[in-house]
Amino acid sequence: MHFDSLAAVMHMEGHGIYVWPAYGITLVLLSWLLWAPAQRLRKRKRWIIAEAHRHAASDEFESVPQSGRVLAAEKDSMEGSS
Amino acid sequence: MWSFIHKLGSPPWFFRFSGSLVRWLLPLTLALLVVGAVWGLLVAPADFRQGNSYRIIYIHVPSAVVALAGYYVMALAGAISLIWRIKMADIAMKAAAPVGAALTAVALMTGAIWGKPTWGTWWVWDARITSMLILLFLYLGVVALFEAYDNKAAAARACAVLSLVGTVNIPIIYKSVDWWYSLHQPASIKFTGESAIDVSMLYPLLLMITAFYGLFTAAVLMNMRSDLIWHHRDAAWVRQWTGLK
Repeated sequence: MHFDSLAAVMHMEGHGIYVWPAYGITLVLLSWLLWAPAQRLRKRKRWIIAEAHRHAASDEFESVPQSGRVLAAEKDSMEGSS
Repeated sequence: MWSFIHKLGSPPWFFRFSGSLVRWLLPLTLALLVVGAVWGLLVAPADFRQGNSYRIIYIHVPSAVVALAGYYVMALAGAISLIWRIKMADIAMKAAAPVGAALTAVALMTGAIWGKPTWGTWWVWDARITSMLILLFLYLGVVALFEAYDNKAAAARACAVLSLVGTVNIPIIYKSVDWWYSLHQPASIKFTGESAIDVSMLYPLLLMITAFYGLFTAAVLMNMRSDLIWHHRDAAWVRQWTGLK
């Protein structure tokens, strides 16, 4: 261990003000790199399941135009998030 | 070997394979990142000239190295897409672009922060830094070009051409510190000859470079998986994966 106290770790002999923000920015960007595709996969999975259920429902009770419009709008937002 | 390469072009096989790969690669990568960061931040000695500011090296160098290597991955996918018209190559190219852009942004921002205590300035229009900025624009250009076209086949062709043209920039980035007078220091790690960095600082750096390669691979695979199920949302294997009958 190079440092002997938590204060020394934070201060880093005057360089903590540069080192910690650099690591902070990196942590945020790298987390986004992994979180964004995981979130997109979950959203798309939910959409596919919901669409299948809507299809099954419309097959049973005839098509419902309003739900079709909602579906199209959701699909557009899904394409945009790719 | 050829049968493996052939299988990579099959969406259901690739989806299952990449899922299993990400399941062990992601925890391994995160563990390596934690160990490497703690080692570099707290255990490695301070640099005799730069003091503790040099600890930014453990994120700056790995992000820059992987951003450059990632560009070759994207350009290779672009070449495969142009020559053999393989859809999976389009998806790989599209998946690599935002990951490469984020890593290039990390390299530029951490470099700027490191530059302040070391050079006395956040930014200089020096050959290495400017060519890295061009790399960021190339990555962002591929992302933007994909979104700009409604016809995704045409978008993939345009992106492939842009990726291939942009490869000219990669050797320029590598050699910029040798070809021009630059504030940026030359490479500390050498494949031939002795590295200009002590092993106590080198080992955590190599660990972080490995971790960043793992992170790039995991992020690209995750992007590809989310695109694959969207492209094939009507296919039986996707319905099966979602749990539908």
